[in-house]
Amino acid sequence: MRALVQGVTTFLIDIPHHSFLTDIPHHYPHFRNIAVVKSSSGRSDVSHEIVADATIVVGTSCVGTGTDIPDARTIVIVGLPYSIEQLLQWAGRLRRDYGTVYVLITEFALREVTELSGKGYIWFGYVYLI
Amino acid sequence: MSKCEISGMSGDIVCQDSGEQATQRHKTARSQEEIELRKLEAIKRRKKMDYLRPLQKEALGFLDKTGHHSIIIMPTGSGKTTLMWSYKSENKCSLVFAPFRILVEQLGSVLAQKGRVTAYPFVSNDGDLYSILATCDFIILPYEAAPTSASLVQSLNGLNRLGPIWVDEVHNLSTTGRFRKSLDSFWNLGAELQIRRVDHKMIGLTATLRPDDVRDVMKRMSIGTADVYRQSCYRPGLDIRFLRFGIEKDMIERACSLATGCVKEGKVLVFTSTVNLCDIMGDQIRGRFNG
Repeated sequence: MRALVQGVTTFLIDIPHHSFLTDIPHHYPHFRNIAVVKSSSGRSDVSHEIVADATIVVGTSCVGTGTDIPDARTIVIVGLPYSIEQLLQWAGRLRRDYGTVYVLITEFALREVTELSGKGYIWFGYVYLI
Repeated sequence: MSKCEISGMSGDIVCQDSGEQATQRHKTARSQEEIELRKLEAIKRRKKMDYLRPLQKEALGFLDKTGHHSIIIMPTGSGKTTLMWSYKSENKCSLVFAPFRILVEQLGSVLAQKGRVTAYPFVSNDGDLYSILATCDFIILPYEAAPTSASLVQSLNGLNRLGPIWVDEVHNLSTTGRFRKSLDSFWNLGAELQIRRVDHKMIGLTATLRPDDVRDVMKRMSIGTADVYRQSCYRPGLDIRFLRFGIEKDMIERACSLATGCVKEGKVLVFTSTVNLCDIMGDQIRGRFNG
């Protein structure tokens, strides 16, 4: 039993805290209805409840993947998503039955992806088809 | 009825049981207590199945059939978390790895309705580790804890309580989707468990994983073979509109107008491709509300 507990204690100590803490989101506590959640800097303890209660949630991929945010009606994506999968993940936060996803991109970003598309990033073709 | 005959050539006695008797003998090998336990488990499973959606039932059936490591790809919002507790065996503790702290917390609150949960950092059971290992149904950890959690898994295995190891949003481990350098060492967990000869089952969950990336993810999870269950993530009702702008300033301006305008209809989510844009958008929207 002693060995067992020692093993687990070692495990707890070995967790690389800092690498994990870099991804702790940040928010502005004095604005109750706007939650800004990003994946760098900041060590505040923004909780899932804060995100779920906010009227407007502004965030990067750390909140766009897997997070369950109820009753989202509109999604505004600013800048080109990294891949079509990321776009689908972000769009997946939308309420099941209805809602709109706006993807706002600059010509400059499009030109960049055009260059990348020659190297195998084929999802840009999807953007042009639409 | 037993049928015995003597082979004329060699003189060996060959005994053959009829199929019915063989089955009967197999049945009696189980104790009454074990049969009752199995019945109870079957009833519980059936009850759970009643309120599962068709896609979840299908995925659960797939997991029941396969004995190997698996990767489950289901659309967003199809109830992947439900699989975690539906597939759970009695008296076993499932380990769940999630890529973000906010997800660790979310999974903790959802799974707490179904069993005893300990989410990182370990504060439940007054931090009593043995009590956590002996009683918890789910232990939820961030991805970064994976390389050093082999001792935890081994301890659970030693107590005969090791359930499946779930890796939520497993697409984050692929080379194309990887966003943190530290995730490079995720494979240490599987490798370490193999060295320690701990029999385990890893199950990856995601909504978006390209067929080309499956091998890469398996490599990151340190598993040789995996059964893949795939459902299309296509959502027919999704209305996606692309808007193009000449300069970034116009784009931000329009994004703020959309966010503040659409808030009357309901909740608005603004996702940005960079942290810098996230800061700008946060400040702009805050400024508009102040104004």
